[in-house]
Amino acid sequence: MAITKEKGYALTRKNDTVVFRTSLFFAERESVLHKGIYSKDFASALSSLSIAGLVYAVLALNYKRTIFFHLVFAVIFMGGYPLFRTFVFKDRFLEALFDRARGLAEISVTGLIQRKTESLPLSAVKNILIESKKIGVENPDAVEFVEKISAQHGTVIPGFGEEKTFFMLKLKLADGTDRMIYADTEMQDVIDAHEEIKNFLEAGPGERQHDRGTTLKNS
Amino acid sequence: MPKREDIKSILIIGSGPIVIGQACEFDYSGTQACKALRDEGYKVILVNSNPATIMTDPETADVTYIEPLTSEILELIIKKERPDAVLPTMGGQTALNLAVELAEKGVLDKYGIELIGAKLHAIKKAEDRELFKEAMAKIGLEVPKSAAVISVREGMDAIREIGFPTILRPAFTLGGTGGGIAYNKEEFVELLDKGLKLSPVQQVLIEESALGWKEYELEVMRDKKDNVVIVCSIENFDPMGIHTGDSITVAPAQTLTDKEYQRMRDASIAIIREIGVDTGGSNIQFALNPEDGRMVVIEMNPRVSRSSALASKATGFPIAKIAAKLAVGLTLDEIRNDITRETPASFEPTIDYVVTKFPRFAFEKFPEADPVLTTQMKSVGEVMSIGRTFRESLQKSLRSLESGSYGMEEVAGDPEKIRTKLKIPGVERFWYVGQAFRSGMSVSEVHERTAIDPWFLHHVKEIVEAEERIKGHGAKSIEQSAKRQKGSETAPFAMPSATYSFPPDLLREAKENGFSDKRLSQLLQCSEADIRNLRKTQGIRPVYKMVDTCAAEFEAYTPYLYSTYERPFYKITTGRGGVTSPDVGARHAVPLQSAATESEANPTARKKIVILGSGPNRIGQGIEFDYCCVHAVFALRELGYEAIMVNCNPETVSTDYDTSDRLYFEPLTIEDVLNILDAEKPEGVIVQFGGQTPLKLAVPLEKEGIRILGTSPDSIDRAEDRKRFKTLLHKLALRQPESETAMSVEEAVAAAQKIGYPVMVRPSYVLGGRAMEIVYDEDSIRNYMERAVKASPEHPILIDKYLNDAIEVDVDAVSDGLDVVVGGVMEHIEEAGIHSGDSACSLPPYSLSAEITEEIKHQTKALAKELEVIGLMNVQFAVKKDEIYILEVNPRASRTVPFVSKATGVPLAKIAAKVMTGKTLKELGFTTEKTIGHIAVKEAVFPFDKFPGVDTILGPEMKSTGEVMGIDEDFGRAFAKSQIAVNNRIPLAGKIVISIRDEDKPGICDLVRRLYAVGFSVIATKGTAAFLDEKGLPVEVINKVAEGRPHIVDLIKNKEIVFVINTVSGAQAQKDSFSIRRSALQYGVPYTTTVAGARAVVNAIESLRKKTINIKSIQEYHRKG
Repeated sequence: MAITKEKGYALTRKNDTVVFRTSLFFAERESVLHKGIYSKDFASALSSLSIAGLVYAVLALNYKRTIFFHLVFAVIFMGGYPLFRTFVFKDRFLEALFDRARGLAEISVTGLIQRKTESLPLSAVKNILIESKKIGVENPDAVEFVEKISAQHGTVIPGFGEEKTFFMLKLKLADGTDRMIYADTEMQDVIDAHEEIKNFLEAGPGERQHDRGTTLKNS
Repeated sequence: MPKREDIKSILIIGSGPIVIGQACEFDYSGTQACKALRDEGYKVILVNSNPATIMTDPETADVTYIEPLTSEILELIIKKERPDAVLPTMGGQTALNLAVELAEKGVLDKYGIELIGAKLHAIKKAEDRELFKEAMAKIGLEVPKSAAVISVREGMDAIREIGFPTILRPAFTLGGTGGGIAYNKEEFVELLDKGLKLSPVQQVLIEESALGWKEYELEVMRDKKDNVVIVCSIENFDPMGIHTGDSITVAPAQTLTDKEYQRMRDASIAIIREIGVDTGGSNIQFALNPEDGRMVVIEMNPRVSRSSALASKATGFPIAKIAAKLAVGLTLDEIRNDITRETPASFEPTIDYVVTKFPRFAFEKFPEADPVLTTQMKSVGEVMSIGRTFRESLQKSLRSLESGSYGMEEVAGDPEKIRTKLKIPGVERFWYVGQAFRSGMSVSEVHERTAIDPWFLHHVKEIVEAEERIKGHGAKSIEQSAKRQKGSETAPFAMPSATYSFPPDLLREAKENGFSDKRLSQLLQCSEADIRNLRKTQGIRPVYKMVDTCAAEFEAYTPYLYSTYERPFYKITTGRGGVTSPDVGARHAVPLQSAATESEANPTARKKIVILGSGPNRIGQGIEFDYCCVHAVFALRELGYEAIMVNCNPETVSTDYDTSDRLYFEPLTIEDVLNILDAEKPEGVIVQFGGQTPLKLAVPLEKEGIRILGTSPDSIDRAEDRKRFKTLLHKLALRQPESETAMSVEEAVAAAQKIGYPVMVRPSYVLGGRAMEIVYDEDSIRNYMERAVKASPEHPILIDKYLNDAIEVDVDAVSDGLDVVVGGVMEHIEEAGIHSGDSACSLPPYSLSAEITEEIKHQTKALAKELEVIGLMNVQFAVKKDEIYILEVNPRASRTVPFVSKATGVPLAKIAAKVMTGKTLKELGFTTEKTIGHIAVKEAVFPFDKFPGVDTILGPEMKSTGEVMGIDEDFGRAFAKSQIAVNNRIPLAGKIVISIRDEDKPGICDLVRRLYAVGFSVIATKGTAAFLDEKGLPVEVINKVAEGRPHIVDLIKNKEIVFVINTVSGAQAQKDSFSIRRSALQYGVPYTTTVAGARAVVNAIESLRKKTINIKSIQEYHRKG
């Protein structure tokens, strides 16, 4: 599945299977203290900088300092950053597979070390629908007060006091429970994903659709 | 640092009976200490004289002695048990003083016992005023100018230096006993003389007055590695001059600047180090002059205290438990915080809410007492409430008090009266502050008169202003509704329509400010249910937050919760389709749903039962009911139920976060309880164990569809409703003293004549014997009725035949609806007519015949079956000339349940709680009454020493604050122990003075004979002496006070008397003999005000002269049966 910046998910349909993939599956506010500061990019850069610095220090303590040290530092830092970003501070993905041939639905979530998968009979998926969750400001006086105090301390809290609406794509299961597979602030993306999966689930066993893919928005 | 291995067994000294200044907070501390030390593998030996405590349960300690707290008894216990160490810091001032006494007598050295928690030198340095002053000077801290004096002469020299007004503090007394403020020489001499008598070391500190300064307390803990943590800061709403126990207090401190707080913090750390409390907690009090910021140290308690119990409940940091672990060598960084399970105890608690403590007074029981609040504590209990803001917390505390207040109600008074009430602090001053704002006074004017910090006053003013806005809107709403309904047939309009236009934002704001539904209903002149319904329809419900010790920095695992109406920063609105935008299309769009708010209650899906606690301690409803609630929790947990506790008393074991599965620290009002039940949805609610507090919620809760476990509210009503009860007794062919009801003086006179004097009269609307009197003639009943009708013309007066010279009997029983088992039959020592809570009693009966006792049991069972009691039941009987009368039936826990349980070893409350869940007595294996081979005597403890001017005579109105138990092999010794435990030491030789009323004279002859036989001499007032002389018992004669000098009081003051027997009837006689009883109390001469009491004393004297007192643990008594 190709990744572009167009949508918040990727969807691949092939014969009797649909694979839906997204990194957006939490409908929660991010920590206002961490947002924009302690990001995965920042953590990866910090980690690779630490390793590079450590190697530099070891070399500097044991050998006479040369330009080579700076080169080693730069290579480790530049090489380390993508490695950390890809393997350590990697994005978590949710993947939902709907396989009509095998009568199976699988929801997998990648974790730091392992991948968790839940398998269900496709017949257990009774519906797919969109729900919304609006996180609005309830107490503007309190928000104003906190902003005033943080301003007095010479800082701003990014995103604090902002409203946010999540649109969530949920699978309703036969046992009455549901599974959220997508949560995005872009309503149209959720509608599109809903349309595509619902069409697939509603289509009869013999119906063939064109292979089609959607690209994943960088998130 | 590992725990100490050289210590194997530890003796913990309890605090004795509940008295003003020393309440059940020490049961909480002691229980925590026992659990903590046993968890660490130590053998715990406990001694306490108070049976109504969880700490004296046989399961709490390894060995438990319910014995008088005297150094002699402690020495006997030490000799027998040979503990390695004594922990004296858990039992308040009583335990600390005893530890000092034991050390100074050489007992600790003799048996090689170590004092742990606080060393002798630290105790002395903190408690001895002079040593403390020197220590503070050494570390550069100021204390108020003062002088410790040991005589009135020294005091007069000191006052010249210090000046008026001055504060007097007797050394080594609890709750400021004997202390006060003197504004002139006359008051000074009077207070000093009293203080010198009350101080066990005859020392009084005369101190520079810091009246009007701000007062603070810091709770500090230190370990062996010299780590120190400040657990909590507490600020007094009331300024200096009012005992901190009588002050409204707030945690954390609200009006300190950071600099001031840091100074106080540094000072506290320096103090605990200098005093030398190396393992444990201390409470340090400061005063701060608001004019110039001058800070002085007031005092330090090198032990857990009332404030540390409050700080523990306020923060979730278990001070007593940690103090016990520190005492055995562990350090703060080694002790885990139970709530977060992550942080160590060295991590100082942080709180993100406001806690308010409000004192509960009982002046209505002592109308003669001076109600002005001073440096001597006068409150009998307290409540604590938690809110997200000071206003919310404060208003919650008001309705927790159960004093009929649901907020800042209006109080009557012209401007002059308001100004006086502000200036002279009394129980109602807080409400007068509100009234002052209503009458247009400014914050600065109120501050000038009260010295309460303007920050607090601004908040009070805002509450008053909010009330005015609410009232205004209510009126508008009513007008609008009226217009809307004009011409319609549905007039007059009801509240739902009246509140129709009440702005939701204002209602929300009112709830955020802590207004109760009840107070809002008063302001809007509608019913509480109307406000509740309106609130619910507007989606205004409380959320529950956790007390987590860390302001949400770490996850909390202990569900210790409080409610708040605080609006969260964010509102989460969920819906299907999210928006109704046309872009979404019908295929996706679904309407939005309602908003949800954040709550940390997270109720579980387990089967659960809610137990409603007993609220603040007060006279008539004390620690006994908390004991029952705690046992109910234990029982439910044993059966696998989730036990949910609701209570607002910070002193109790029930509000310890690890007693129940879930704890709601909330007011016990219908509003707050229903909110909790909405959130938890339990299988049922137990209202039987917490006394009147939860019982009065039974019917309203049942009306709301809540299942009440145990005896049905209808059965309770059958027992309480006079007419229904009469019918019930008639059906069972049981007897009751003849009774009538009267609305007027003439009706009362006629009724009394019909019944025959003496009669017992009382208003129909009161509980706990309030305003109850025994009247002997028509003049008295006319006088009573004039007062009662004037006070409350709409309520009838109940008139009962008073059974003169009858023996009163209390019975506790448990029933499962099929079987009834009697827990214990208790014979009162004082005759019927003395409130059962004030009367001493013996279990088993010491003078009743076996036939009468059996008949009483039979009648108890019949009553339980007829009332379909499920759970506990208490019946009060009167026996006169072998006839049994039923006085009262209470199908609920009584205050004697813990006493019976301790005496017999049968946990009645626990069994009853299990029965209420559906277990049968057969299933529980409790089918027959336990018979015991020993005797247990319960004796009441009175607060007369705190209320100068109050008569000590007993009557139908309850006045005691606590109780003790004496247990031994015979009645005489058990009774003697009970008297020793209440500091009414029984003399073995000397001169006894007798002054008694005519009715009692025939009964005294035998006693005088017996006293002569054991070597006492007797002196009597003229009438009594003449009667005795006539009976061939010549005695010395002494004048009554009105008959000239030397009189009876002179003998008492000169310590020539060892015991006083004084009974009176009639108002004049009572007035005349008042000084006899008062001086006996003041000069520490044992006394009794009933002939029955005198008889018991003579029994005890005879017994003590033959045998010595034994000590035996209750585990031994229970094993023996």
